Amino acid sequence: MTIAQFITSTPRRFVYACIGTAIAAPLLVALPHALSSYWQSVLVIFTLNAIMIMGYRLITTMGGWSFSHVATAGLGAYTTAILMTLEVPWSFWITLFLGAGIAGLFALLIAYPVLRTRHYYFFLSTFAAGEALRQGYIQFKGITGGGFGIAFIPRPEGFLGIDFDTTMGFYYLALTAALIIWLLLYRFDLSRLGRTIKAVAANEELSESIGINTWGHRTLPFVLGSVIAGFAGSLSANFNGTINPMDFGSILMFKLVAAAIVGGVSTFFGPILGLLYLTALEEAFRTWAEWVPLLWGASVIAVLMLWSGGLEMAVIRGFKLLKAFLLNRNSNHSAKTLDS
Amino acid sequence: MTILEVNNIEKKFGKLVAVKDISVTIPEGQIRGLIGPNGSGKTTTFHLISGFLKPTSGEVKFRGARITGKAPHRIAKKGLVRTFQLTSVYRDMSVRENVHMGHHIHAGRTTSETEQNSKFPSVSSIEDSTSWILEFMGLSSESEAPARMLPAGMQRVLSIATALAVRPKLLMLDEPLAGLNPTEKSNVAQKISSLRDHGITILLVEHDVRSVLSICDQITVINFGEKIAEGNADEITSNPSVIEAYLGKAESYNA
Amino acid sequence: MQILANIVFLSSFYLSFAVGLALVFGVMRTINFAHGEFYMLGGYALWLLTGVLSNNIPDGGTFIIAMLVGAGVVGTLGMLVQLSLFERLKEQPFSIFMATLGLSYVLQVIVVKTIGPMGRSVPAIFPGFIMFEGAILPIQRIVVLGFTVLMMAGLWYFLMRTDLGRAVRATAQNKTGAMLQGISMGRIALTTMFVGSALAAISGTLMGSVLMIGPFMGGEALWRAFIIIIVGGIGSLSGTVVAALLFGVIDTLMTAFGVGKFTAMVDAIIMLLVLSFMPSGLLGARE
Repeated sequence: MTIAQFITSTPRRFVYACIGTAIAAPLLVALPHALSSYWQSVLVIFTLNAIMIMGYRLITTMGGWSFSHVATAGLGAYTTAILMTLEVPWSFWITLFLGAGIAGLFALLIAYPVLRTRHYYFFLSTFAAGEALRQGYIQFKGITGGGFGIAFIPRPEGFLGIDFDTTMGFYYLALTAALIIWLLLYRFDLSRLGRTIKAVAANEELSESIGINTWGHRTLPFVLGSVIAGFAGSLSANFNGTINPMDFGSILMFKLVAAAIVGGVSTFFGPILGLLYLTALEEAFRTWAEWVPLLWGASVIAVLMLWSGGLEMAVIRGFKLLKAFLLNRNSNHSAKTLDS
Repeated sequence: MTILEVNNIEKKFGKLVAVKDISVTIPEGQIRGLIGPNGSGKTTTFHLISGFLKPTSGEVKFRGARITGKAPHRIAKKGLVRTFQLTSVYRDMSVRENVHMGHHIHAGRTTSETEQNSKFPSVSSIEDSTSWILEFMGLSSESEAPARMLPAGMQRVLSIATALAVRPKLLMLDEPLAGLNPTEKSNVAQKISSLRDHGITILLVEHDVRSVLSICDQITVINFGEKIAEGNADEITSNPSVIEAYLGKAESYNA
Repeated sequence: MQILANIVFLSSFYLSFAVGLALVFGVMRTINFAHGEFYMLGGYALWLLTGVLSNNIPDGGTFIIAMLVGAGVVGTLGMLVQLSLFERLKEQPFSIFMATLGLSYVLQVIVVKTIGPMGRSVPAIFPGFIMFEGAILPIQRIVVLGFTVLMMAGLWYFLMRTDLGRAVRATAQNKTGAMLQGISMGRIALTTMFVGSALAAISGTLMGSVLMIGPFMGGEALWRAFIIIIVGGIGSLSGTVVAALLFGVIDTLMTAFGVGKFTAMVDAIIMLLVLSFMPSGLLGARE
């Protein structure tokens, strides 16, 4: 469509999102200055995980809860790691996009068998595919360094006066990537394509019968979400400097899935809220680190049993209550009932 | 002209032959009923024609073009749209959003690209078309309600409305009257009849033989995966094989 | 011959681990992600009881007691999970999956905190080996195989010859029909979870006698069980047997030919191929 059409068709919510981002961005940029270097690292890792979970949420909009997401991120990570530790290292930017592309390609390859499945079969088959990929990382020692992984991955070259060798410098890179991806994905979510994907997830049969290519509308988010994972993986490799197969194992995958459940996936920000919660829990229990998976697991069970809707629902209800309260103060009527 | 031509389709599931050999020809503008006892292969035939199952042999032609084995969404784009048994609506969307969704294939198209049914409004304004369909099907008063809140009869009407949004030339209705009370049935039946006046050919599968006899111009009867009779209401009710197929089951259709 | 023996050993391991999962999936249409942890608890039952009883009771006795205790405790645990989680989330099988995923981590951490994260091993209960046709067959493994066969025979007998077992099968084939027959779904669910979990524990006890026991041993084996179930087909126990055999053969042969490091990938690729062309698995019923 033409630029004019694109602008006029831009949903209002996206405009608000852009404005909100413009306001928040300077705050986010300034944030690390107030933090110790430990917390700066935590912030960077959180930002990278946020990128990964945005990709994950995209996949859930087509109705599938993938368990191969983190292993696929590993493809981006290993691409960067391998190519940047060669005798003649490749440029970071090329490995970044190449890694994301390879991740997407993997998703495309497994899409046919895996997207024939639904619900827990989808979970199981992506789980198995992801695990096989991870076994590949372990077994192909020659390329991937096997169980020891790859070390001495360099940071990208700085530019515009920013030094990516420092945590704060790298944070700017990660934050920029996260904000760009956030805006792109949110716009996508609000677009007709995004809505059609959700319609297909809501009722596949019906969608097919009204002329929607359901196969395409399920494959696209799966591949795109995996590309995003590839980006996150690549950046993680650069940040950590070393990678090994354990980094892309089930604990991180569980964290993502748990964040999505605890936060909820109906809204875009739900999973990120969940991630905040889980990360906060993790940091609060640093000294009893072994308990953390239990707390995460218990949180998941608690949300499923007691509070369906997740944190996003709590936030939305909170806003509604606030709105009703504020409106109420201007009238003499007794408390209004909330429409749910 | 012939809008649908089904030639000798067969469907086997391993050793089980669900549809043995069925041939049907439907002229444009007709309301055709497809009836048969439980397990006769009606729904399977429906799936075979609309692309949700692939026939093991035989061919299906829609407006002269072969559609055998094509993906259902491609068939829908050509103008053959079907509804489903057990309601098929987007439960969490509003009635209006449901019908709006039905226009999916028309987005971005101009009037000249889609063959327009002159009795329906143009699809160049999806908003207008949605409002028109809601009005036509009697759903305007509920247009903002979530689809899942509607009573069964209205959900059924909604699924037909959504199908209309696609602008079908042939509309296939899978048991549109199942599970409805008599008032709802007569309402839906009336809507179906009026569709024909808007130039849409209808093929419907139904259990309620009485309703079929009153709505349909022509009726095809199948049993055990084969066609056993074809004709208008009088011919069918006096056909001995049909009577035999339904022997002992007549009571259930009097309810 | 050695290869044949290894095939038999490996297949029987895969089968014993996967069968409980397949049973629960086939009857209740839900995956118990904590199945791996139930298996792990069975292994720890052996380790704990060996520590406690080894001076008083011959090792063989301890072995059997561990199996029974493990089966009983874990089976009960399975029933508790059914009552608390599954009942609550009955309408959302996917949530059950997620909840059991959470549970698996809870169980892992509990074990790590109470017993410790290090792997343990149990001294051989039946040490030594016999030579047969040029193959070295450790006696312990033969014993494990024997008990596996016994376990499968017991399961077969239960499902085929007892009323309760038949009711379970009926539910797996046609839930509504079973309900109309007056079969209590609550009872079936409890029974299935008990049996499926107990089977996991017995498998854990058996394998604990030959493998390393650790808090994460369940998680490491689980994905293969998933592959076996998918390839075998939903709701089909005979499919599980066939798939376990298939992968036992493939994995053993690959290891024998020196390409053992590819087993995970090959297994996954086979699963993907089966899903591409036979989405209901080799012997699965249509959903």
